[in-house]
Amino acid sequence: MAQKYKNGMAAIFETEAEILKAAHQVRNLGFRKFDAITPYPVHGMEEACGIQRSWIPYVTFVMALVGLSLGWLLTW
Amino acid sequence: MMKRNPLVLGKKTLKDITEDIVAPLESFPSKGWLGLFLSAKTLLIFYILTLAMVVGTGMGLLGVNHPNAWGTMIITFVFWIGIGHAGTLISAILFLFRQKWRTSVARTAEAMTVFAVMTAGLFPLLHTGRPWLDFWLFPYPNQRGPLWVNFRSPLLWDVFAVSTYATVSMVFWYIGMVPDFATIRDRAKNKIRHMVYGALSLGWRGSVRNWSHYEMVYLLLAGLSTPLVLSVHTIVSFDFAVSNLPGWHTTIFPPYFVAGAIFSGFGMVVTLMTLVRIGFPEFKNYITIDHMEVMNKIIMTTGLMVGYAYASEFFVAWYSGNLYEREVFINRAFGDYGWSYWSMVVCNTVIPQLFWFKKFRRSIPLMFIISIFVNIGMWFERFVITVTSLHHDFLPSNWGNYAWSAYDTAILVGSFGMFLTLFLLYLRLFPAISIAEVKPVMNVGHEEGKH
Repeated sequence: MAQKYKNGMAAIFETEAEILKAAHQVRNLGFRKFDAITPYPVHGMEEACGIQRSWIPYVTFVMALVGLSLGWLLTW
Repeated sequence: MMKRNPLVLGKKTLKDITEDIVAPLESFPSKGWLGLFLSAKTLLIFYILTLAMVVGTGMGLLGVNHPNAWGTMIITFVFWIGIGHAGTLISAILFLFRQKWRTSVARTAEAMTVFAVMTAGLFPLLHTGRPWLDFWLFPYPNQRGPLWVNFRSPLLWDVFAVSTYATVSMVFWYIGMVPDFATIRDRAKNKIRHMVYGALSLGWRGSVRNWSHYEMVYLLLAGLSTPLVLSVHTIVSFDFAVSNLPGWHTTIFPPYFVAGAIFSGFGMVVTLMTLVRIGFPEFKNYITIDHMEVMNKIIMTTGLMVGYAYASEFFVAWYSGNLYEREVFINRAFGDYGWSYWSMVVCNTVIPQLFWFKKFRRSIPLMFIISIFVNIGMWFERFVITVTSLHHDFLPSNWGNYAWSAYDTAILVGSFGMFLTLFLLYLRLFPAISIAEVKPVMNVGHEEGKH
């Protein structure tokens, strides 16, 4: 199948459960470059698509330290 | 398992939800909205003119003078800042506690927060009397000698508390709207609309990667906003409590102010929501009687906390044996401003008791009236705290009443013009209910019985 659709393919799903199931199956078939577009966050979709936990908390932590140091610098 | 009432009524499909919520954005304004908007805008123009006169002539136009150096501006500042707290509580704390009923009221409550903080923020800036020098409030390297803001002053803490609050609540509000802006962009039929909402939606595609980061950001912002619900009004109360004035110098102030803020905020949310339900009848399926009832319960609970604080202040004034403290509190209830004290007590502690009855908690006209009383009562609370403490301090020769002028009235009334203009514009420019948050709490799209 991967040879046949070199330019990619798209499918439309009517319900949350169907797209979640499809995402699971696509990943189990060994596809890695695929995406699931939904109008609202679907519970379990990250695991289904194999998405890593967001790295944003680390940025937040570093920025919080910067903010804290600046605050201390001002009161110093 | 206990059967719960559905959060959204009317057996909506996902498509219905989108169409209902964006309807006010995509249709021509009704006469009712236009009428309200024109009135609010006229009031706003009147407010701008009043402020121009007060700034141009000076603070003397208001009733502030010795010994009442603080008056309408500070009272109304605390009033509006307090109102903001309900929005943050609903959007942040109830999010962390996974309260699903928050989804349909959170957006509008957050909008109320943002506009209330904007309305409030003007007052301290103008109350300096020389608003063109307001940048002096921030610590920055300057050429005025070794002059640095006083970090020991609660007024400076307030500068940081309020500006942080304004920033965080605006970012939180905006981030929450990004997916919905994308929905509006995708539905847009004309180019300008597509461009504006396209820019606002920051290239949102709704991909699983988008959602993954989005949900993390939302969680972090909720976590950051949560302490603000408690800290902002705590610091506002420090403006009073850190001074030595009897009536202000009490340790109960921080929790008392926070409870009062949540109380007044929910009062305003109920006022606005009853009106939104009338203006957009389709929203009745999203902001249901159940939602209103929960908020009325919170009003009653926080109203009792505030009542407890009033009683405890009197107890401490008597039990401390402090002559001045006792004198201030007797004067507060029975002196020249007794009428304001008793209006506050009636509005805040007596009238909300009606909410003990389920029938009253679920009656729209009644909750509207009660919420108006709460708004009035909470304004009087700040009036009582500010004026009765200042006008009657340690020395009888220092006593004097607040010289309330027409400009005080104009500023108080006009501030509603600013708030309502912003709020009415919001109702027609932004999705007033979170589309992306309401959909997941629906039971459509799940396979029956498999979860």
